Amino acid sequence: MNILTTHNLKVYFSQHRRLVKALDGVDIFLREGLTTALAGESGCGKTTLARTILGFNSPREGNVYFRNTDISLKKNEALIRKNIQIVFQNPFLSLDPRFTIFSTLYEAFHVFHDAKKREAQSVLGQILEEVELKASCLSRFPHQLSGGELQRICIARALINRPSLIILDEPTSSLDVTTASKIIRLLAKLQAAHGITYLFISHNLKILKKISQVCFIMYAGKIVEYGPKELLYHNPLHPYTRLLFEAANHTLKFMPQEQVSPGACAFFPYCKSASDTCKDSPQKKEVEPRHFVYCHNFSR
Amino acid sequence: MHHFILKRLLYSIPLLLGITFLTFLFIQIAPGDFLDNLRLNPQVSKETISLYEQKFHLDKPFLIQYATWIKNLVRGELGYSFSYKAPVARVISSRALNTLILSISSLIFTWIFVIPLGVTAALKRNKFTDKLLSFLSYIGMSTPAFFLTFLLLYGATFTRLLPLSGMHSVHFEEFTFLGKIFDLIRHLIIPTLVLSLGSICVLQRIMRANLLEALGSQYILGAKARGLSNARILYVHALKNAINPIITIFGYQFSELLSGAALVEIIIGWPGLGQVTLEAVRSQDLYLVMGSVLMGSILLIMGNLLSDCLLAAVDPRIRYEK
Ligand SMILES: Nc1ncnc2c1ncn2[C@@H]1O[C@H](COP(=O)(O)OP(=O)(O)OP(=O)(O)O)[C@@H](O)[C@H]1O
Ligand SMILES: [Mg+2]
Repeated sequence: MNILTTHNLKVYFSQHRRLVKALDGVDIFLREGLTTALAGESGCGKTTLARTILGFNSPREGNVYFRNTDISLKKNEALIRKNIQIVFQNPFLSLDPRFTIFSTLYEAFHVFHDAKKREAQSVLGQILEEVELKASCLSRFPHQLSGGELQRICIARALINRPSLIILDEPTSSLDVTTASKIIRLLAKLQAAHGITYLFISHNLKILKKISQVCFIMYAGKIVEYGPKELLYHNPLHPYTRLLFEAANHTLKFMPQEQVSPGACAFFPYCKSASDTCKDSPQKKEVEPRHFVYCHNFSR
Repeated sequence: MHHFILKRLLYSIPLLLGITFLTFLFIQIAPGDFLDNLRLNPQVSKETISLYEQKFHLDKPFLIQYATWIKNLVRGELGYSFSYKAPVARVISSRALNTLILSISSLIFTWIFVIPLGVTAALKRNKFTDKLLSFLSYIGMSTPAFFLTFLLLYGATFTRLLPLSGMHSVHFEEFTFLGKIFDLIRHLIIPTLVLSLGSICVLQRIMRANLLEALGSQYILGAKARGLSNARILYVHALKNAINPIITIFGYQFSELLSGAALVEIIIGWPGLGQVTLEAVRSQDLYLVMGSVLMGSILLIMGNLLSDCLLAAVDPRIRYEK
């Protein structure tokens, strides 16, 4: 069962009079209760997709459906707020520095619950317990907590109104490796307890392998390959995915500088196995069951 | 917090010593002293002059004179003004109050405009209102204060709506209490405008930039995602964080305000510290110069301390710093 699907989502920005196709016809689906990974190098449009799902970018074309309701329509915004939350990369920037943890969490809780501060106290204590923090954190300010603790606060805040989907936009990228793996374990525990769906955005393929069940690989605003995690990790098909896996430890820089001729495969200028057919736009091809790729090498 | 204030006050003592020492030095380096006027007067006898010299230790070396001044200061005596023939404390206390009235009036006037204008410009970013405000503030920033003063004085002469100079009308003493306040406000308008306009223009731009930065930050995006109301996002989160850097500027602005006030006082004839300092320097009225410089420095330090306290009050990161 899909909790969220996007159809042919297009979001364009103009930068210095140049059109940037941040999302260029993106179709993804999120399976309820599972973690879907979204990977791709910096600038490929991952955050833009998250923002568009949350209704902060209005798509030029295409729709976002949450359980069959079109949430790209302004009138359905309340549905997004109630059901979808986001956790960002940098917890230091995600919290108002002048708010205590109590006020931060209470403010989030208060949006959907008309509770007095005293009544909220037990709920807040309980949510902190869920993210494995002591209730004594409540009276602290963000600058008095560590990055890992702050990220737990951010998770608690996202969790507090019991959303069904949480978008995690590189939630561990600003943390050290041990803290990151603790956060990953916490997220998995919370998912098991509440059946939350995650959209996990990252360029760390190791972390994605650990936490996700379905993977989408994105390149220059397009999905180039997707499928169940095991199949995709075991047998990466698209030349870009292979590069991404090879370069797992160093950052990729393969974004098209110039607009590729319209219709061509965006990865064409960098692709080792490119041929003349790549000047046409690649069609989706199911190479093995449930494992899809957009590449001419497989549609021949 | 008390600890913090106490520490700041202690730190300001060496600063005050430095300022007063330099002032003392410069006055002494300048050729001649106040007694030269008396010496030129044939009706004043040599004995009188040497009596004066002894009384004020003007015959002693420079360092001893300064030490004597400090010693008297600690005892609460600021010395005697030769030209006013009155204790310095009495001369400058009313003057300091007048300068304070002018400065506070300009501060209030500035802040009344800065925040609403900055918020309006930020919310209407790149729209007509924003561009108009930007245009006006460039004009305001590039208008020299003295030119603005003359412009306003010209306007006042022409329309006869506002008094041209001074702090009180001739018949001030005959007014009722409310009448006196009204009279004071009428006299305050031109100097306040002159003192505030520049800062309003500058700070309003800074406020706009800060607010836009705050509105673009991640926790604001998160706040929207959590479904907080726009008003709460703007007034509780963005605005308060945008004001922080402005409060720091408030401290610097205070020094500018005092020096600006000195200029305006001299042009408008506002009986404040700046005016009396200039008079005292001209007539080499040593203790009056020292007293008014000391007073000005204390006002400045107080202003900075106030802005630091304000900052600590609104920003927990500063409040909890050890
Ligand atoms: N508000 C905007 N205005 C103009 N261009 C934008 C805007 N937001 C994003 N872009 C552009 O859209 C493209 C995709 O950006 P996005 O932030 O989605 O990348 P990302 O995949 O999240 O990268 P990262 O891994 O660095 O976070 C980039 O080229 C970026 O410059
Ligand atoms: Mg991003």
